[in-house]
Amino acid sequence: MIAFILRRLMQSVVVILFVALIAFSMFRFVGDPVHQMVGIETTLEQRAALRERLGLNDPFHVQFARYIAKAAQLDFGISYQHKKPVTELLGARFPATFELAMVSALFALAVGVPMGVFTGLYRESWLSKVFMAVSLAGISLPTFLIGILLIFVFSVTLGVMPSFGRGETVDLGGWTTGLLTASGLQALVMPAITLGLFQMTLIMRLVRSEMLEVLRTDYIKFARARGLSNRAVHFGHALKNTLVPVITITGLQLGGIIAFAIITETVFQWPGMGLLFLQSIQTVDIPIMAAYLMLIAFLFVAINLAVDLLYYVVDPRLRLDRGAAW
Amino acid sequence: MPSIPSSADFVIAEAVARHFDVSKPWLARAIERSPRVFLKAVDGVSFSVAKGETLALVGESGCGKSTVARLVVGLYRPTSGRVLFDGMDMAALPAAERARCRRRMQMIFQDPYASLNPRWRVRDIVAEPLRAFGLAKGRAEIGERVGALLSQVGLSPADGEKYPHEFSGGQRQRISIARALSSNPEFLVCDEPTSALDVSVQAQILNLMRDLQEELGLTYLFISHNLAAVRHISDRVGVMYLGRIVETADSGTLFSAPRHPYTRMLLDAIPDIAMSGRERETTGGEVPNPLDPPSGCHFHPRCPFADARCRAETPALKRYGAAETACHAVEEGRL
Amino acid sequence: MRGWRDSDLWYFFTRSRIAVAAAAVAGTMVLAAFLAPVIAPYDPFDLASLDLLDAHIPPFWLEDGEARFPIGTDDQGRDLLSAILYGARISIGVGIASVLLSLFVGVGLGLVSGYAGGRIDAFIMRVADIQLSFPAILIALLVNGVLRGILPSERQDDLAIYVLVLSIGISGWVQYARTVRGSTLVEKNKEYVQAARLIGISSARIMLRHILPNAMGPVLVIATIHVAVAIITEATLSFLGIGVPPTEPSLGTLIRIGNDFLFSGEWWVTIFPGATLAVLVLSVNLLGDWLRDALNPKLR
Repeated sequence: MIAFILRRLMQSVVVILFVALIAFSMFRFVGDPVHQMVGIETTLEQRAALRERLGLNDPFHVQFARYIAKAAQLDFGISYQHKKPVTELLGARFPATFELAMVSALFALAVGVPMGVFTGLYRESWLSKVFMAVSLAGISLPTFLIGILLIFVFSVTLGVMPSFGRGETVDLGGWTTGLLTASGLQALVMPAITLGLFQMTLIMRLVRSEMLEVLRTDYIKFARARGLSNRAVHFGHALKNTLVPVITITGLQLGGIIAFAIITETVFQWPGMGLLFLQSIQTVDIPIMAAYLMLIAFLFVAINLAVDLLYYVVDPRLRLDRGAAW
Repeated sequence: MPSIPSSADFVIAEAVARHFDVSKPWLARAIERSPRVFLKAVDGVSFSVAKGETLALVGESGCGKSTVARLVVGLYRPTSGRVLFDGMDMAALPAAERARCRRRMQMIFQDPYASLNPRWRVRDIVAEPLRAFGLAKGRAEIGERVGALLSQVGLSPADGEKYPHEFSGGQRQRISIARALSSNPEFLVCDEPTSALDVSVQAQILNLMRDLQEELGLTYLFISHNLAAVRHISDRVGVMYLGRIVETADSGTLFSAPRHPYTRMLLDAIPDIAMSGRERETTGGEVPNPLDPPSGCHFHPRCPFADARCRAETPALKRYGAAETACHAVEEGRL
Repeated sequence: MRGWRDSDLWYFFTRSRIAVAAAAVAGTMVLAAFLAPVIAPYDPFDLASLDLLDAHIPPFWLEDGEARFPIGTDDQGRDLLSAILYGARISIGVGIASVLLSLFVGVGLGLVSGYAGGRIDAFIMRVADIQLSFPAILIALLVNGVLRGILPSERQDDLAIYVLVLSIGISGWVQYARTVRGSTLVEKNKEYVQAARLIGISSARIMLRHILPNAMGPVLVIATIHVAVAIITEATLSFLGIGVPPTEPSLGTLIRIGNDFLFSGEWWVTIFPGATLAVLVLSVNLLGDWLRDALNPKLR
């Protein structure tokens, strides 16, 4: 037990350090940081002085250690493009991405689970077939294309939905939220659907196959034999048993949602971290790229770790045979 | 006296051991304070095979006999001890000489379904050693050699165009033998070559192997748990139990007058009423966990003759007439 | 057995009909794309032939539509049909090239990892685990960003396609490596491999000649489905503006260009390339699904 937790923690630390190494290498070796920070009129002496002051002449491991130490205090340097601290830039945009991701995940769950239950229970119904066809499209169509189609239909043709931005936002002590105004909520609808559609289809297919699996098992037959109503069997017994994998997958997909937010935010000009990251790639703004990479890595590791530990607590079967590979 | 193999012997194993590290990951060990765990698959085995002879190693599954086979041909390196082939220690030879040595020994495997690459044509399978050792050059010469080899093992040269899945188990084993013969070896290690086959086919394969031995002057190390097959083909027999040899004797002596209680138990398990006329001794029990073998004589928990000495002291192989047996009871004359 | 006949045979039959249709659609599109220089009415890459007076012409069935541009033109006066054909050629080409790169890297590392075992295996698989915890699109974006940082800016447009192939290719190797490693672990303990080792066949030869042919089945299924993913990734990167340059547009670039004119009512510049992309990806996906089921009897 302790060995398992320790091993998982160590793995997480290794992952973070590995990603930090990549982030640092990008920062250090892609382009010249000094060149990016100064103007053309800076003399060679001034450049050399800046180089020394930034510690760019120190040995690699010293620089790397300093980078880690700074990153631990959330200091990722100054953006080349915006000439502002990266942390400040990312922090200002975090609420937008976070709200979008959460609403998308909720949408995916709230729509995906009932659709999955329905298609699992009534396999042959025409509505199930429609759902399955829609889910195939949801998996096959690129995210940005779905966003464009939504804009084309609801903003351009029907003119009922805003096509870009967050609408009006309210500042709650540094956290800007669009959830408290009508225009903010309205602006959230299409990006959230675009972003959540892929997860929704995933959840729907998962719930469906889990339902089909569970309904075949003996204890469901036994529950029926006891004369329980269909409703009690379907929801009390069958659905309950499908929820553990569903919650796990949703949790694990949360990181994916944040990554795919890059695309959604671009389509809808949503002022979040993804849009900032994309702009930083276009302008080769390495400090932002590195910081975003570290942030995503941290989120992924934290989510994975939490899911693994929860699984370990929930499912006693896993306590015996997991983790022989390390 | 354990026999010191004479230098005239062709293949000699000198106190060969092979241990496998089956410990838990180091972190788990550190936290649970558990020690490293080794599986002593082979724990100091000595034997010798004379040229032209067939030595059989028998024992229940898990006794380490297949590991011995792989140690002898050099697929595993011994943890300690050494194997001499025609006076040379394979593990210590320089690469060029090792390759020359390899050509002279070959192996026939247990599972006719896993021992032939399913994606290769039979002709390529049989020709692989020819190409590897440069024994035949050019399509025509290789094709001719392969055809001759397939005929030699009772298949048709035209079978070379087929894939392994088109053959039965017995035919596949013939292909295996053809592959083994293609490098003109002098020594063949046969790891349970018939145990996956039907009884009727087993006899065919054994007869083929015996004919080839006479024809080509081959030396065999024959690994099996099938005593009937062993009796059919072997000149001498070694009985293994949990990584050690407990008895060796020539085939006639072993089957007519077994000494070690374990050998007796194995023979009693053969449903052959006319065999010995001896009263059957019931020896129950399972093979113990090889990770944690019993102290002293490994066999003592299952042995009806075990006493305090058997539990404490490991018996050594000693000569009694035509046999060598490692048993305190035999030594003390209790048996 | 009877249950299988009752339901799954029928199921399989309908499925394979879908597969035949998907194969026909995908095949036609690939063929049309690669024959673009022959069948396309215009050369959209020839900037000299473009006439800005031809810009923003709608499809022929709309008012102001012209028969010489059957589905209209974009803002540069490019014939959209020709641009889509050429664009599909770039999209499919980049998709297949990226998949080949992923396959090459992944299969190689998977073989080495599974066959060598020990520290090499642990290292490769750990890197794979780390990469796998990030979505492929993010990896592709990062590789793309780094390559842009390294390359001199004046050559970036020329090299854009190679940068794309490299970034999509690197983002997809893990699946191949894991699959091949799994097969290798099974195969390397089989006796035919021991027979080869016995006669001193080198490890490299054993991996390539003995193990690889036995590990390729699932790899081909992954590769088919991966082509669809790679095409989507290419389109996404190009749409995000870090893919192929607008002078030689892929489907994603065309959608990006059209997106700017969506609000002025010129929907065709976006919708036609988008529909092409959707049909292409859907048919490749269906084909891959069918291939997976057909090659794996356990999956019904």
